Formats: sequence, C-alpha cells, structure tokens
Amino acid sequence: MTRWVKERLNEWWPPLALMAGALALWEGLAHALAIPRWLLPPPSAIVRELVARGDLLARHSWVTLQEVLAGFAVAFTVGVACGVAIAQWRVVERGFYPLVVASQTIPIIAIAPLLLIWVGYDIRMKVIVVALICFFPITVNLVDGLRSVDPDLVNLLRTMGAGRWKVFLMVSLPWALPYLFSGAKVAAAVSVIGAVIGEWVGASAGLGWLMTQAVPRFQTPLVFASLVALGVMGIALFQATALVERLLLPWHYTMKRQEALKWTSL
Amino acid sequence: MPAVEVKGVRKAYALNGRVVPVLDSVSFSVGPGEFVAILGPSGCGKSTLLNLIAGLEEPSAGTIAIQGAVPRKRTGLCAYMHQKDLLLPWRTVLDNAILPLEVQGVPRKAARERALALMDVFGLRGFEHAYPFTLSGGMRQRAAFLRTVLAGKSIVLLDEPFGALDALTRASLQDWLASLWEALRLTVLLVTHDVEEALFLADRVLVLTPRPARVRGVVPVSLPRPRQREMVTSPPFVRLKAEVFQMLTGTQVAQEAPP
Repeated sequence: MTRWVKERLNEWWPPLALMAGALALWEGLAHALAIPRWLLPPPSAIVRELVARGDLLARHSWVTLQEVLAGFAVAFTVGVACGVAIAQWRVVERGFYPLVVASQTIPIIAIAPLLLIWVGYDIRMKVIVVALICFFPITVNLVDGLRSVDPDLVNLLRTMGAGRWKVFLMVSLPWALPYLFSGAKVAAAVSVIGAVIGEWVGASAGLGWLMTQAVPRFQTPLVFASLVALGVMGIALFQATALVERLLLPWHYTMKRQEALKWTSL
Repeated sequence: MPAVEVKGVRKAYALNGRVVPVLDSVSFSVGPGEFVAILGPSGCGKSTLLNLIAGLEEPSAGTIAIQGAVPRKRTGLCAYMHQKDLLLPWRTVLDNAILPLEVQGVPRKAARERALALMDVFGLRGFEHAYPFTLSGGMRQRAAFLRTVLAGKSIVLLDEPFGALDALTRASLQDWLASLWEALRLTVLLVTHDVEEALFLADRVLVLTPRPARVRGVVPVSLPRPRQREMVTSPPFVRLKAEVFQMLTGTQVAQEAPP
C-alpha cells in the first residue's frame, strides 16, 4: 500500500465509519419498524433505484451538470472582474460593493420566477440562477484577498519602480489567489443548489425537475436517488476546484502542509 | 556631488485634525560610496526619513536630491530593504531575487543567470529553488539582500535590516554585510537603533533627536577597514560608543531615551 493511500485512509475513515453506522441504523430501523417505502425507503432500496434507473438519472444529471458548469463559469468570470474593479478603484468600491452585499439579502427563490418571465424556460434561466448564487462567495473572497495584501510589500514594489498594474499583477493578484480559491470552493459546493432551485421553478429536465415529478407520485426512492446524484455532483465539483487550486498554487499547498506537521509528544 | 542630499526636510502628519510633526528640518548629505548609519530613538521618524528618500512619501517641505538632481518621482532610483524580508511566498529564492529585474523588464532567463552567479556570495547556494517558508530567518534576510543588490542601484537604503533577527544571527549577518560592502562599495544609508551596529558598519553615524527629529550630530567612525568583530571591544570603539550614547541621550550615562 502506498503512503498516499494510507494517508487518504487515515483521513477518510472517521467520516466513512460514521456514515456506514448511520446507514446501517437506518436500514435496520426501516425494516424493524416496517416503515413504508413511500415514506422513508431503506438505503438498500435507494441503491436498487440508483442501479435500476441509472440511465434516467444519468440523463438528468447531465442536464443539471451543464447548468452548474455554465453558471459557475459565468460567476467566476464576472466575480473576478468585479472583485478586481472593487479592489482597484475606490469609486467602484464605494458605489458598487454595498449593492453586491445587499443583493445577497434577496432570496434567489424569489428571483427565479422573475427570470422565468424575462428569459424563459431554457438553460439560460438556470445558468443565471447558478451564477447568482456562485457570484457572491467568489467576489467577496477575492476582494478580501486583494485588500489583505501587506502594504509593505506594495511599497517594496513601488521602490523598485513598479507602477500600479505591475504591483497588481506581481503581488496583489498572486497574494489573493488562495482567497479566490476559497471562494470558488464554496461556490462549487453551493452551485448545485442554484441549479435545483432553477429547475423547480421552470424546467423540463434535470435532477431538480425529476424530483418535482417524483414527489407527487410518491416515488420516494427516486427522490432519494436524485439527492444522492446531486450530492455526488456537489462533492465532485468541490474536489475538482480543490485539485485545480493544488495544481496552480503548489507553494500554498505545501506551506499549509508544512504548518500541519506538528511534533507529537511520546 | 553627493549621492543623496537632504535639505531642510520637514514631514508632518495630520491625526484627527491635530498636526503631528515627525521630521523637523533635517539636512545632511551622503557621498558616493559612503556608508552612513542613521541612529535615533524608537519612533523618532528615521523610517519616515528613509521612506521619503525612497520616494514612497513626499516631504512637507524641503528637497531631496539624488545624484545631484531633484527628480519629480524618486521611486526606482534607490534600492530599498525593509526590516521584514518581504519575500513573496509563491516564488522560490531565485525568483524572489530577480523581482526588481523583472520590474525593470529584464527577461527572466537573463535575470536568473545574474542571480545564480551571486548565490555563493550570499550563502544561498543549494537553496535557489527553495520556497522562503522553508528557510531560516537569517537566510531569508540574505535572500532579501540579494534582491536588493540585484536591483542594480548605486544607492541602497536599509531600514533596520537585522531588526527581526536573534543576536547571534544579527552579528554574523553584520560581519557578512561589512565584507560585502567593502567589496561592492555602494552608497548605503542604514537606519537602526542599535549603536553597536551603526558604529560597526558605518563610515559616519548620524544621530537624530526624539520626535520631531532633527540631526543632533554626526560622528565620524575612524575605525580601520576591514572591520573585525573583535573591534567592538577595542578602546576606540568603546569611546565612540560612549560619545554616541551621550549624543543620543544628552547625558553622560547610557540610558533609555524618553518615549
């Protein structure tokens, strides 16, 4: 067994053990109390559903995944542009930033029906909802990162004769990248929520839509199977973002690991 | 023609509507190839003075001439080094060192070659590709020195470059800087509050008063070069030390400056 596998196992066994225990308890109680399947299907029934309706779930997962990826891409592009503008120009910060924060107090679920009126039923509406949810953590984290740059570092670059944009590219932006990735990881985790909300409000396909179809028919195992698919998608997106972070910022990753290496008392 | 000439420089800040004078008509000049230490009690405004010369701030009154001219923009004329090493954590030692060359537009490859040629002199051979957080404080400060020297400026401004180091590392870096300076003969302005450090390294020591700072006096350091660590206990060094202390505190006995 390689060291990598050992380390992963060491890291993952507590949540895995906890989950296995919870699932076993759920399975046991569902049978012992004879809970009807339409009320709460046991994990085994959900697994059977995942296998039996695999094609259906895959088809709708693909629809949702497209919405999520497109929405995330839009939010990332717009979020980075806004974050840079807010950090670079006082005017933008004073005029625009409070509005960005205020916009977050409006529930997305309330905006989604309006978007339905404005852009219609197609993928664009879902992409906008996902982007609205992902935009905020990306922008706010990037702004925080750009603001936290050591002013002495900026001054050092100025003494070297660097202008404003050279300072930005050589110091501020690399400094803020770990913050940007923190925001992107949060966005990746919540992006799936945006897609589901969009599909609930108006869609003809996708995992969220599938759930709205399954619930009135009491196809509870299918609802749970859709939830499993959504969960897997969210975790995969989060891990993919973390992987990109590790590849792009190797120094940050090793620095964090270095700090994590603590002496153990014997 | 002096390398740096400071004439009647005043600097004041406004704090909650109150005017706080920091520098009160400071004048001095530094000759080319001269090592001058600026010594003063903590918080007397010596770092402000260095920031003014570096062009990070503008004086409230007075002029600062660099190589005989009073430029509109002074940044980029002198190399500057801070008490903190200010190494970029995402760059290796080598790529940190070439930062000023990159700012100047020198291609990376050529810049790296110039830095690599100096790794032995700066005691960084074998650590070119290490990230700063893996190095000791002394090594990090040497990397910052390399970066400062690679800026290729004939005037170097050092703001308490050994301030954050432990006493042993500080002494060994002072020895190293003394021999480095004797080889390079750059114009150096060193800000410090360490009397021994000032005397050990400099040709002249400029003593400032507490805030608002004025120049209280200039002490020429007529110790032979190359400077040796043993000198710090020699009678002439101790006499100079007493003279500087007296100037700093205005008394015969060495004591803490008033806050």
